[in-house]
Amino acid sequence: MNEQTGPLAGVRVLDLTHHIAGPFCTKLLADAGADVVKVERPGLGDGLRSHEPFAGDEPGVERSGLFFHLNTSKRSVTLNFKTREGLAMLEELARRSDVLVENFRPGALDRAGLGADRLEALNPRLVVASISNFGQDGPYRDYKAIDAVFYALGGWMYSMGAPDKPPLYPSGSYAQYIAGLFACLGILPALYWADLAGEGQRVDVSILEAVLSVLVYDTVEYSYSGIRRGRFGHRWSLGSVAGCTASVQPCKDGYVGVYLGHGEERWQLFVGALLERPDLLDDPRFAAPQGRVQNVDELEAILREWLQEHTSEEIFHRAQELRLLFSTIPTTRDLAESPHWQARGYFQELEHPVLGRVTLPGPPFRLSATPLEFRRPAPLLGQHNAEVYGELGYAPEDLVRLRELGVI
Amino acid sequence: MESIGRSQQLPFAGIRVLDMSQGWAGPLCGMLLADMGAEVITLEAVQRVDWWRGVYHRPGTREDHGWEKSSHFVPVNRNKLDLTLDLTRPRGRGLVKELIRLSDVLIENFTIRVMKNFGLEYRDVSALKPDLIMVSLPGFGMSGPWKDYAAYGQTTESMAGLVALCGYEGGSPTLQSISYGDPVAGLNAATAVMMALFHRRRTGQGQHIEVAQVEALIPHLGGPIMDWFLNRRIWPRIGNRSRWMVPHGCYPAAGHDQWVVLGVASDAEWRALCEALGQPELAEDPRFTIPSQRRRHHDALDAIIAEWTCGLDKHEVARRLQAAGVAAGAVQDAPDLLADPQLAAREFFFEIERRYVGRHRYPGPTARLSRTPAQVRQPAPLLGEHNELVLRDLLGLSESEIEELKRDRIIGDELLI
Repeated sequence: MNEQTGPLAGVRVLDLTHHIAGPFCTKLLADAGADVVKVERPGLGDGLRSHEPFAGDEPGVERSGLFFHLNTSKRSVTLNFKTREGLAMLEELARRSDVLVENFRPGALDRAGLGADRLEALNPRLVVASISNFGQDGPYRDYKAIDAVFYALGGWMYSMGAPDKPPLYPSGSYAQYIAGLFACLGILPALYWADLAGEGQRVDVSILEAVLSVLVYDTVEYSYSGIRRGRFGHRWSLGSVAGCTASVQPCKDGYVGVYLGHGEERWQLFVGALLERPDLLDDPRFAAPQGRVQNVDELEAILREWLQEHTSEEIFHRAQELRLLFSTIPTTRDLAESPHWQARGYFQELEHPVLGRVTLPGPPFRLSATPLEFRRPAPLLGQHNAEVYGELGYAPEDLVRLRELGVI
Repeated sequence: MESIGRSQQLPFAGIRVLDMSQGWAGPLCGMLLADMGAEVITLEAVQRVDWWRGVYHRPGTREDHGWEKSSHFVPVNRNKLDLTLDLTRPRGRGLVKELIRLSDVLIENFTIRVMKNFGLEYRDVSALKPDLIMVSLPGFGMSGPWKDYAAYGQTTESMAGLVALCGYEGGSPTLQSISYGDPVAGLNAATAVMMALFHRRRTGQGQHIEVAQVEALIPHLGGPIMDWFLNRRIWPRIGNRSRWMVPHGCYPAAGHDQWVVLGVASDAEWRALCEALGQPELAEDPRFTIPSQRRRHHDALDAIIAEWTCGLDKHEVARRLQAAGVAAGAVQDAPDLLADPQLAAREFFFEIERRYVGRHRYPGPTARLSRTPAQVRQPAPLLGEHNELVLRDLLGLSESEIEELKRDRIIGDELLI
């Protein structure tokens, strides 16, 4: 790396990950200043390169928008480490790294000749992080997974959607992103420990367990009180909190998030100031919080009548000015065009050799002294072969030979 | 101070965190640091307890120590010490400033004006402790036209675009069943603090971290947000179907409200599914041979699959499909999760005794470190449980000073609302 900035400046990460969870983890490390070398198989590279959306809907290994988003600030090399020479090169990279991250099937790295013992012998300070579907052991270790399987097995999906319909798919790869964060949350303390004590260790992250870790309450609630949370339709519910005052509702020009929260003060603001219906404060149906749950259909009818007369923007601003925590329901377009995120410079543009100027979400948090930054756009496949292998001492003619042998 | 809240064998042993946050996002950040050895002091007031204890909305929580029985507060506050201080009074604010002088990390998730009113903005606290790492979790950030707006997890989830993307086909936008914005903000905050701790260890420099909760969530959109920027396309809500797997869905299994999911990503998996259904000839059915055809006839395909799944136990469907090489899984609820063989084999849940609630199982630490594994040293603290420990051993207050604070209700261990 030519620049040494960011909280993780000087940290070297050997990135053997593909798809979403692993690359999201190493993206955060790379944006934080770590030198992340992404190792890809020659030819196709990370399978995510072949995943939609593609620029102009034209597939190609340098055209995936999702790959572009998840691989900022990294360097890419190609390497077939099933070859003897390729394995030796990978070992050399591991020897000079602080962190290795991988998300192969459990045991795959072992079979490739780079198991935990070998890595520890090569580099006792190395932090070796593994992200896998279900963990490195257990009866489901080798099961196949797709996002829906994590949501189903993890308990997330059971309570999604309407009671009279099948459980609803959460519509996104959120399980993968959470697992990527948990990998960071294992790697960073391990890195700190390596700095303190001079010893590395292994980090094992299961995507299924990551899902359970953001779904903490359901099993505890069941264990405490036997309550089994069901599906609630559009009226949001967590534990004993329910009613249309936490719901997504239609309004004049689309939808709006009605998130009232708790406490009589908020109720009074909602009914008196927002709906301008002070008469409802004395209405026996709604006087007590339990009444608002019992008579939720009537309350909702009153609410909807008012919402139909106002746009989502009007409702959002009026409510927030009253300190009611409502929202609009923006589409991706609305996000991109929002004056607030524009004022904060959240979305950023990067110049890519194939895609041209592309906009993407900025770093997820802001450190005042050592900000995360996009140091470079997502790399082309093998873009940094000469640079990285040059650092290992390979001459240009060596690389020609390795390319002919299919090693890189 | 007696080291109840810390461990010498963990990476962040010796790091002290003052956690002024409430709810889920901020406390989760504190707990992740505590799991890795930090001494985390969570700050409440008997006049204003952490609302995650349920006292502001759950009936019956204000008497009989109901505030100690929250299924929400307990699982996200393990390994912490609990101190109460009334910050609306000068004596309380003075003590919190003394604590900040002795802390390495400060967590807060108030709206901007609250910390300003307390005189505890970053410029104030960094004057007290120059190498302090302060992390703030405002919903919309500390600048921009919406900086004074506030957010629940549902607000951030909506504002980050997730809700517009989720729902049954042709149906209304749908919230996730969990308050997804909250844990994501907490996980990001903890990641950011750990990065800042690493930087501080090498340079001695502290800093202020701003986690605008909506900004932390937007990257999780991935495909749809990039499709907007690349192709100006807005993704419709498509229920249980997938944009690239077909079939993909949630199917009924034997029994009431029992379900199983499956998805087919390749031709080999499609043939394997047909074999498992006992209808290998389906693979050659012209309606289903290639993905675009299967997509066109997805309804018919769903009916065929459902006919098979509805006669079998959900776990049996998943077992058979996994054996055939097709990704599938049972839709599990809370009792299923507590009995899940994979989670059990990995001892994911841990059991701990806690006063007022008894012995229960809780989801355990997620990142598993081989040499310095997260330790569950103690359950979530009781309100004000460590007042004396912190005030006497850390701040050096005398018994009579502590008595006076109790008398004035600056501190306490019983709810005062």
